[in-house]
Amino acid sequence: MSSDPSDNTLENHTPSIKSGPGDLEPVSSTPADLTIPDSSSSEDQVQPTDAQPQPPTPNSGRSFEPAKPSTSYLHWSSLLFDVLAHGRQYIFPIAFAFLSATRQNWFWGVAAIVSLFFSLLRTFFRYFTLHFGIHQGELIVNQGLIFKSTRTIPTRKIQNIDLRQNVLHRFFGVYEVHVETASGQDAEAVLRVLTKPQIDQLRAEIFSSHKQTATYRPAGNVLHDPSLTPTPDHAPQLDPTVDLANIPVQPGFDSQKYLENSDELHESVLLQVPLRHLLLAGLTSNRGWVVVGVLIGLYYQFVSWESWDDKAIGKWIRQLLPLMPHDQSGWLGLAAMVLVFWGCLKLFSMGWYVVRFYGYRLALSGNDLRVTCGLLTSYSVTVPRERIQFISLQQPWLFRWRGYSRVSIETAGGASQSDGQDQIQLMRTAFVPIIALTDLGPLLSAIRPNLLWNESKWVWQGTASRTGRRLLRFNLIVGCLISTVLTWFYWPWGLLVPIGLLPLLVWHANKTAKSLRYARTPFGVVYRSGLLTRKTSMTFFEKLQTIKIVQSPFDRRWGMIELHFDTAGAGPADHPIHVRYLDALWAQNEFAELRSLASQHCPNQKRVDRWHSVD
Amino acid sequence: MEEIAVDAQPTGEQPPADLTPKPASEITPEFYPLDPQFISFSRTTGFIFTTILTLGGLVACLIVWRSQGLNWVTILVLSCYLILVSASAWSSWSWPAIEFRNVKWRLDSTGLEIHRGVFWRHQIAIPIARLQHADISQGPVQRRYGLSKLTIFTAGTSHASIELDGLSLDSATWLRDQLIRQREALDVV
Repeated sequence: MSSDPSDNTLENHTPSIKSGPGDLEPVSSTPADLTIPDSSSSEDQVQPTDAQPQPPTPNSGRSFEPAKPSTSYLHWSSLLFDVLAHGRQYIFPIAFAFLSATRQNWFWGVAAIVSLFFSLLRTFFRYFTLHFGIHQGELIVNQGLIFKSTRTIPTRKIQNIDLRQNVLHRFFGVYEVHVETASGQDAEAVLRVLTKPQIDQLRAEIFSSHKQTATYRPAGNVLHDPSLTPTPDHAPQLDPTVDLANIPVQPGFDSQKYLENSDELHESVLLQVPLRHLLLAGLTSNRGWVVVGVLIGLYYQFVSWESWDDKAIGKWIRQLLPLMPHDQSGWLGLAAMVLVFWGCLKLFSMGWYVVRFYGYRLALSGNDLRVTCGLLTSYSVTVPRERIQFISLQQPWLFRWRGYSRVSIETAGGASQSDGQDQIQLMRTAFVPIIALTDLGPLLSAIRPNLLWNESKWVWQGTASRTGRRLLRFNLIVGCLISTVLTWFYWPWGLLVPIGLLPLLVWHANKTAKSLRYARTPFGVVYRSGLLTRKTSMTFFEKLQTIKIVQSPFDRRWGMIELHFDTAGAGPADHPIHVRYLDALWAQNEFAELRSLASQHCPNQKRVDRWHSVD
Repeated sequence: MEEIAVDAQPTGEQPPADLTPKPASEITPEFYPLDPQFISFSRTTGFIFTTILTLGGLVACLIVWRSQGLNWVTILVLSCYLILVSASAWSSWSWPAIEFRNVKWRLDSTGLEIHRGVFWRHQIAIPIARLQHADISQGPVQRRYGLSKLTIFTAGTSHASIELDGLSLDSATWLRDQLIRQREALDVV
């Protein structure tokens, strides 16, 4: 056990890691194409154009950082943060133990102390044994003293490196690092905690090896080697080549220089959100309800010890009924109270938005989009551009009125609802919390090259002409049912309901029929829906996984069809592209055209040319 | 189980069973039905299900009768049982043929297209390049009829796997090999 950073433990481990036959990564296992020319030994420099695969030599382990040892350790404050992170799990057991101790029952108290002790011991062991490094295109995390574990993540598959920094982290100047890959629900590895220089180095190493992968792919003959042909499992990970291939490749590309400069890759700021806009964004959100939920939870936890059962609701109503107003001033008072409550709710929402998104900054660095924001806990999320499967513009009515929009994105994988990840997940849902519509076009082009936001020039396909009638008929049937039930119970006042409801139903049917729109654009498909909150979602031909037509018996009766598009995005935008009420004949043609378009646009090298020609 | 005869011989060709590679352009974009044995297979599984339902329901009815005597509850349970069993028997006989008529698939240069569904009709298109991998599986009853199930996996979320049940083993193998060969033709640059 040693925490000496110069210890070469990783080098001692790596030959055994690389010797396994199962790690035949198509790119990372060919060191001849990947190894950076070692500047210290100039006589055996490997030229980038020299693509002869050489057998892996275990001793040439120092691929990316020849000068520095490639083993890193966590920052010393990790001890504290690890205890804090696991301490959350111990709050309730300790509280329980404390409560039983007050009743002279010491057993649980002792049990809690023992388990806490073991958890602390684990933290110490974890801290002193965990080390990680980049070796031959793979991030290797070693851990454990008696039971050693080695986790190997090919850097090529690393999608995002997300950072979190709360107030305490800021005090120590450290960050919590989440390394995300496409697979699975949770972060592939959480490094708690690292300093900024360590992270910069890690980022540079990982993403420079991305660039290496991308630039060498066309030059070398790696993929011609039949033993290295990608298996189907690797197919989704291959799509970075689509956009990365846009980087011009010169025959004598100087990778050493490129790598040295990768730290200072030009970072262009795409968007900064002023506080005024954040307040507006907060006004449209319902985050305040979270506070209400927390308050109710606290009330039941600490103030009222009575249990919540089926009788509780009845009791609440009995308690509240006498409070109902009896005269005009009482009603006015109630209305005022509701208004104040609503105002507080909105204030909470605005405050939450400010805390969460303060100092929002979206930047493009190389091929990665980088978001940094947060007042107390600051977040930094990196999303490689080509991983974006789906973009959704969401406009609540207030946004539409003032000419703003929110932008959500979906990436493959990393879509988890689990604790800790939901904050980072939120960065997808509100990737851009608010943006003026006038800035939208340039931003979208930056998020995805070749995406020209040109709404007015696209051919928008509305719903079939019969849709209004179909929806109205459905609405009327539902309205009749409701009215019948109400009239049955409240004769004759129930009759007023259908009279009031009728114009609303007609309006709703017509508006809905008109609000649904679909367009096929040069880059993909766009779908728009929503009456109050309008959502406009788009996906791209090469990201379409399956295309589906669904026709219900009702659809058949009205000569309509539904078109469904499936992507690898896991749905944080909450707007699946299910285009309903399309004219059946038109949609069948569209389906056939989309089939051929989707098969022409595929995420690999060969079809890229055609993709550009389409655009 | 042998008494279940195939009376509805559907028309339509079976895909060629030869495994010689063909260029994508030569694959004719015509629709193929499932293997007609699918009807017999479905009826067999339906027959097994109905048998289990009949026996289980009989036991339940007897228990109710013993405990309740012959009152309105018993009569209700008995009539429900009879309706359920007859519905199951009828549907396990006639439904497979209806289902069979509504399933068809084709493979062309753009990918695989599957049509299915009786009331809710679905047409699914899977572009070849989106195929992740394909599995063929065969249960014990399927093996008896020489049938198999082809499962196609994509990177999608709501349709991450697409099943095509009721192909003959030869067709399924042919289809899988074609899909993988075409995909490889795209992949190797």
